[in-house]
Amino acid sequence: MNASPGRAIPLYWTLTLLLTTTAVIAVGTGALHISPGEVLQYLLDALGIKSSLPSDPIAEGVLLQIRLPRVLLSAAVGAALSVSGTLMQALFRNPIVEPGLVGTSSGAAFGAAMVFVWGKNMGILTSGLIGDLLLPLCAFLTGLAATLIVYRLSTAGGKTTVATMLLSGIAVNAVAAAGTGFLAYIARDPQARSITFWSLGTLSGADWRGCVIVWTVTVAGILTTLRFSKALNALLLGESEAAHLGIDTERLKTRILFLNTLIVAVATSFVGVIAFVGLVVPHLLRLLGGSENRYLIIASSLAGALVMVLTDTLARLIIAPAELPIGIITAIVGAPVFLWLLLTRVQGKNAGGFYA
Amino acid sequence: MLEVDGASRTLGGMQIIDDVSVRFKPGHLSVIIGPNGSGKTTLLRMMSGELKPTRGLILYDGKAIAGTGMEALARKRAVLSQSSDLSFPLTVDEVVMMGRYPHFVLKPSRHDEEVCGAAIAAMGIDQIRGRNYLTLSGGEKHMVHFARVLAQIWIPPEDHHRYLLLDEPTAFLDINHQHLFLKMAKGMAERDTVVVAVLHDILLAAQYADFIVALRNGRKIAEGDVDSMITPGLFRDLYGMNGKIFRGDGMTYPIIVF
Repeated sequence: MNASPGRAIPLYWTLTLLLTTTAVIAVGTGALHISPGEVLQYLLDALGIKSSLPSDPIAEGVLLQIRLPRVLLSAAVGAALSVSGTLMQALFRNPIVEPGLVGTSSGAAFGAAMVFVWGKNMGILTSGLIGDLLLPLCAFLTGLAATLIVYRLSTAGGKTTVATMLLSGIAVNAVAAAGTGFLAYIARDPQARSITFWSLGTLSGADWRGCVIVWTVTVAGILTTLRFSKALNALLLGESEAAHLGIDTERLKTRILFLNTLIVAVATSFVGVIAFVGLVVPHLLRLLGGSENRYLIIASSLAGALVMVLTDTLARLIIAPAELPIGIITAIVGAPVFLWLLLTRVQGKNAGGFYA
Repeated sequence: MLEVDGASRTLGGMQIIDDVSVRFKPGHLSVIIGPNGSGKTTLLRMMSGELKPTRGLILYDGKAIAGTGMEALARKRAVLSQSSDLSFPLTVDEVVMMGRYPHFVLKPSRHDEEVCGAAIAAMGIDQIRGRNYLTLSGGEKHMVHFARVLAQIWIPPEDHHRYLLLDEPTAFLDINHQHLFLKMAKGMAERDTVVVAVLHDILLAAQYADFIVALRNGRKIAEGDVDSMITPGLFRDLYGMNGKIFRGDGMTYPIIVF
C-alpha cells in the first residue's frame, strides 16, 4: 500500500530496466545465439550508425527481420492486454475481470477468423491499406459486440454480479469459439491449421507491419486512457458517488469500453487469444502498490510488456526447435491465480474482501 | 439557498415525490424526516442532481441545476451516501483526495494536498492516513468518506454558497460517531453552508436540527423549527404512533418517547 505517485516512480524505472534487459536477451536467444554486444551493433547498423566490427549477415537478418519484430510485438501485446485488464476491472468494479473472460478476446478472434477464411474472396478489400486494416477492424467490431453483451447482461443498476458476468462470459466465449471452430472446419487446410494454432495465441507470425499497427494503437490507446485515470478512481466508489464528484459516468463507461475493446481487438487480431495476462499483471501490481488507476495503467503497460516478452521467449525455448502456443503457458500460470482470487473472494466476503 | 420548486418524480410508474416545494437556507442544519418509503432519499437524490425531477425545478443560488455542468456543481456541492461499496485497496489519503477531483485536471496541487490534510485532521483520523481502506472498521470508513466530502467543498466558492447533502449519515454508527457526525454537519452549517440531512433518528433531529421538513407518501406535510415540529400530533400523522414529549430542566431541545 504505497501508491502515492512519487513512490511509484522507482517501480516504473525498475520495470523499464528489466524490460529493456529482457528484450535484449530475448532477441539474442534461439537456435542462433546473438550476444547483447552484437544486438547493439546490428541495431545501430540498422539506424545508420555503421561500426567497423565484422558483421554476420545471417545473424543480422534473423535479428532484424524475425526476432526484433516478434519481441516488439509481444511487448505491445502484453501492454495492451494488461492495461485492458486494468480498465475492465475498474469498469466492472471487480478485480476478477479480464478480456479473455468477458469475451472480448474470443469475440475479436472470431472476427479475425472471418477475415482469414473469407477475406481472400473479397478481392479489392484485401489489397493495400484497406486490406491491412480490415483484419483489426473486423476484430474490433465482433470484440465490441461480445463485450457489450456480457456487460449488459451482468451489470444492472451500476452493479456487476460476478456470477452472472462469469456465466455470460462463458456463453459468449462458447458462441465465439463455435463460430471460430465452424470457420476452421469450412476453411481450406492451411487456413484451418493457422486458426487452430492461433486460437491458443501465438506470436510466430510477427512481422513489421503487424508490429507497427499494434504499437500505434496500443500506445495511443494507453495515453488516452491515462486521461481517464482520475475518473476511473472515482468510479471505484460507485456510480452515484462518481456522479457526485462531477463525473459523467455513462459517457466515461462508453469511452472506456470502446478504447479497451480497440486495444484488445487489434492485439488479438495479430496474435490470437492470450488469456489471463490481463488478470495476473494488474493483480500483482495491486498487491505491490494499491489500486490508484494512473499507477496501475503505467505499471501495467511496463509489467505486461515484460511478462509477455518473457513468456514468448519461454514458448520458443521449451520444446525447441518447435514452439508452444503462448496461450498454453499463460493459462497454466494464470488459471491458478484466477482460482485463488475466486477463492479469496468467497472467503473474504466476511472479512472486507480481496485486498484487505 | 437551495430551493426545491414544485418538484415531482416518478420511478417505475410510482409517484415517489409529489409536488414538493421547500427552501433550505445557509447557516441552518436542515433535516428531512419521514417514514420508510416517504421519498426522503429520492428528494435528496434530486437535490444532488443525480435524479432529474419529472416536473418542477431544483435551484442552487436561484439557478436551475439542469443548466449547471456536473463538474461545476461538484465544486460547490458534496454528497455523503449511506454507504459505499469500494472493494479495491486504496489508502485513506487516496480516498480523501477523490474529494478534490472536481478541482484539478491531472495532478493534485500542493493546495489540494493541504485541503485533504485539513479535512482529515478535522475528522480526527490522522492516525489511519496511510492505511488500506479495506482494513478499516465500518465507522472508520464512514469517517474517511466524510473527510472526502469535506475536502470537496472545503474552500467556500467566491460567488456562491457551499452545499452539503447527507443521506442518513448516522445509520450504522455508534452513539459517539453519530454525535460527532452531526456536530461536524452543524459546524459546516454555521460556516455559511447549506446542510441538508436525511435522518431517521428523531432524537438526533430534535437535538441538532435548525429546520425540519416532514415527508409522507412523497408529499411535504409540515416544515418548521424543532419546537413547532416535534409534537405528538405530527408523529401521529407521520408514523401513526403516539409519542410523549419531555423537556428536561435547562435543556434546549425536546425529547420524544414512544
